[in-house]
Amino acid sequence: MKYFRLYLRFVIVYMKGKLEYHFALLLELLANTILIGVYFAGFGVIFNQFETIAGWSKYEVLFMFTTSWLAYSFSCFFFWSPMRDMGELVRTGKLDLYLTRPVGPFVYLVLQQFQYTFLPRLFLSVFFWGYSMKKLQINWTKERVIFYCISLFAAFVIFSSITVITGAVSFWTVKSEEIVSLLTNNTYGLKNFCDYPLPIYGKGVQIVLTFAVPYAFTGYYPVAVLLGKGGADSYMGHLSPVIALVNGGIAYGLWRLGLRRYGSTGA
Amino acid sequence: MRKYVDHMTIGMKEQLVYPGAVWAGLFSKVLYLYLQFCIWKALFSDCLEKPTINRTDTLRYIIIATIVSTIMECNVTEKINAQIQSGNIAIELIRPIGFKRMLFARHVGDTAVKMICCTLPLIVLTTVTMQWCGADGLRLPFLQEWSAGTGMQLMCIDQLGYGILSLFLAYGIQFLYSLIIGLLAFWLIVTWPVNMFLGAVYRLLSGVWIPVTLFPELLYRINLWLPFRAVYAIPVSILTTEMKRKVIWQSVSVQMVWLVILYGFSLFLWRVGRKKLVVQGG
Amino acid sequence: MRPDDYSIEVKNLKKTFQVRNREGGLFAAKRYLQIEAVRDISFSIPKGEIVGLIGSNGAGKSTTVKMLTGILTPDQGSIRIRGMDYRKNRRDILMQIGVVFGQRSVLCWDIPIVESFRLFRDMYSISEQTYRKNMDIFSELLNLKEYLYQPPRLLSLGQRTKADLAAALLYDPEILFLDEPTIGIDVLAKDRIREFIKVINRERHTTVVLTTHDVSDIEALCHKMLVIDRGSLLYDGTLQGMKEQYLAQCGETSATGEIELEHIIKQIYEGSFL
Repeated sequence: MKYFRLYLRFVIVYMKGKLEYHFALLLELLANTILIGVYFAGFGVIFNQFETIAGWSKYEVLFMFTTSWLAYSFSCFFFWSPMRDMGELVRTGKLDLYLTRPVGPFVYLVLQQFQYTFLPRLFLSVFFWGYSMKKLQINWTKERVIFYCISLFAAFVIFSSITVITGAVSFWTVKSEEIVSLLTNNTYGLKNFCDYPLPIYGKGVQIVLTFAVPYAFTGYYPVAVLLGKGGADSYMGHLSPVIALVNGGIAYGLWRLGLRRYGSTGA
Repeated sequence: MRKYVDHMTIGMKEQLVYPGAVWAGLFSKVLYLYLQFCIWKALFSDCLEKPTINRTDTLRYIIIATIVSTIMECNVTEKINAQIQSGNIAIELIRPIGFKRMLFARHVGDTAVKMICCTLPLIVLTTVTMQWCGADGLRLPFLQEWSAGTGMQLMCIDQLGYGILSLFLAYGIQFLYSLIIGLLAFWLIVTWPVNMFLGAVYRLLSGVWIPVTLFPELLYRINLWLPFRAVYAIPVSILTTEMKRKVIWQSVSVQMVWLVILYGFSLFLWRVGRKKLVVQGG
Repeated sequence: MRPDDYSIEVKNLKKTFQVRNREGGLFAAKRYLQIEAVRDISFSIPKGEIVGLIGSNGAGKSTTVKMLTGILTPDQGSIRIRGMDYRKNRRDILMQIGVVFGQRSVLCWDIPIVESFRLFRDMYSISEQTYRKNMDIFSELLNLKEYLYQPPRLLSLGQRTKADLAAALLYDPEILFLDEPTIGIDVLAKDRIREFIKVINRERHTTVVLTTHDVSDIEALCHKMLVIDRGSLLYDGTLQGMKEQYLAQCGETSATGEIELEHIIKQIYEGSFL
C-alpha cells in the first residue's frame, strides 16, 4: 500500500516534470506511434505480396508477435528505462543516492519513472492483437484462456528478467548499453527474431532463442500450441512458466550479486 | 586540405574510443543480415512462383542493402543536435574551417573505420558462406538456413562501376539528409522524437528493409517523388539487378537532382539558423 | 558515557579497492592496482555533536563517508549507527540518517520543490503533523516560502542546497551527513546554511558529520574534528585541542598572535604536522 502511494506520488512528479515541455511530450508520443506504426506498415507491405511464412498465415504471425509485444510493452513500461540507465548510474556514482533511501534501489528505480513512451507500442499492439484475433476466429475454451493468460504472464517475466540481467551487467562492465542494444534495438536487436516463426531460422539460432535468450517462449512456442501449429515440439509451449521462473531467478541473483559488488567496490 | 585530413583522423579516432561498440556494431549487423535473409528465404519458400518479383534478386537485394547500410549510416544528426543545444556551435562558427565541411570530413573518417571493421568483414563472411559452404556439401551447424542460399552471385559485376558511382551519390545524399535533420535543432527543444520519426519513415521508404519494388502501387508511386529511395533502393538495385544502361543513367540522374536539391535546402537552413543563433545569442 | 549515547561508533575500519588500469585501443589490456583507501580507522561520535571530517583529495575521506552512509560495505571492521549495523538493520538506519551531497541534488529538476518534499513525505512515511511542523520551521529558517513552488532549474545553487537540506531533515533524522554542502555558494547563503545547521543541532540534538574543504565551515560549525590522510586517522579531538597541540609542537604564531586553522591544515597535508 505504501509503495502504491509512493508510486502515485512518483508518477505525479515525473509527469509534472514532463508536462513542463508538453510539446516535446506530444512529439515523443507521436514519434513512437509512427515508429511502431511504420513497423506494422512494413509488415503489411511484406504480407501484401506473400500470404504465408513457414506454414503460418499472416494473421497467425500477427497474433504471435503482438502477443509477444504485449508482454514486452508492459515489461518495458516498468523495467526498460531504469535498466538502460544503470550503466550511467554506476559510472557517475549517482546510484549512491538511491542506496541511502529506505526504499530498496531496485524498487526505487522502477517506481520513480513512468515510461509513457511505450504506451503507443502497447496500444498499437492491443489493436493489431484484437484485429488478428478477429480474423483468426480462435475457439476460446476455458483451458485455452487460462493457458494463454499464464503464457502471457510468463512472457512478461521473461522479458523483464532479460532486461534486469542486462541492467545488472552494468555493475561489472561499465558500458552495458551495447548489450541492451544488441538485444532490444528496434531494428537490429535479437528480439526482432521472435516476430517470425522460429523454424525459419537455423538450428543453432533456434537453440539460442530457446535456451540462451529465451525470446521464443514469449510468443512462438505458446502460440504454436494454441493455434495447433507445433508438431513434434508442441510440449515446448507448456514450458514457458518454467523458463520464466529460471530466468527470474537468474535475474534476481545477478542483481543481488551486482549490488553487493557495488557495495564493495563503488563506482 | 591538411585540416580536412586532420578532421578525418579525429572522426576515425572517435569511432575507436569504444572498441566494444565497434564489435557490437558488427555483431548486430551480422545478426540482422541473417534475420533478413531467413525471413525472405522463408517467404519465398512458401510460394515459389511470383510473377512480379524474383527470389534470387530479392535475396541479393536484401543482403547487399544490409551490407551497404554499414557505410551509409550517419550519426551527423546527433552531433549537430548536441552542438546546437549545448551552445558549442558558437565556438565552431569562429573556427577557420567550415562547420559543415568539418562534419563531412569527420563523417568520412568515421565511415572509413566502419568500412574496415564492419563492411569488409560482412562482405568476406557472406562471400565465404555463400560460395564455399554449399559447393563442398559442407554444412555449418549454426547456419543451415543460410547455406541454402549458396551458389548465388551476389552482384552484377558488369554494373559494378555504375553501382559504385551511385553509392558515392547516395553517400552524399545521406549526409545532407542527416545534416538537414540535425539543423532542425535550431528550432526544436527536444530533437530525438523528430529523429526517430524521420528515421522510421526513412527505414520503410528508402528500401533498406523492404525492396521498394514490393510496395503496393500507390505507395510505390508516392515514393518515386521522395528522396528516400535515392539512398538505398537505387544504388542497391544497380548493384544487384541487371538493367539497361538507359535505366541506370536515369536512376543516377535522379540521385544527382536530389543531391542538388538537398544541398540547396541545407544551405538555406544553415543560413537561416545561423542568423537565428546570432540574433538570440544561442 | 553509555554505548547508546554514541551516534556513530567505528572500529578498525578497512577498505581496499582494486582499480582497473584500462588503456584504450581495440584490444584493451587490463591491469589491476591495489589501493588502500582506508586503513584501520576507529573513532566514535557522541550524540548531538557536530564533527568536521577533513582530508586532502584522495585521502579516504569520501570512502569513509560512503561506508558510514551504507553505500559501501567495509572490508573489515564495524560501523554501528545508534547501536545498529547496516548488515542487519539497514532500513532502520536509513530511516534515521539524512544525507546531502553538495554536488548531487535529490530534487527533481523540472518540478516545484514542494513536490519533491511530498515525495519524501511518502517515502519516509512522515506523519502529516511532523511534515507540517517541519515545513513551517524550514520555511522560516531557510526562506523556503519564496521558492517552494519553483523548480530547481530556476533556483540559485544556494537555494537548491537549502532545499536539499530541508529534504534531508524532513523526516527528523538523528544523524545528518553533509558532503561539501557549501561548495560554490555565496557568502550570505553560506551563513544562512550554517546558522540553520546550528539551530537544528541545538534544538533537535541532531548529530552532524560534515566533510568539507572549506575551513571556514569547520570553524563556524564544528566542535570536534577528524583528520584523515592516506587512509589513516591523524587527529581525533576538539578544534581547540588541535590548535593547542600545534602551538606546543611547532611554536609558530602568526603576526596577529592568532593561529589560523587553514595554516595548520596546510601543514598537515604537507606532512609537517601530526
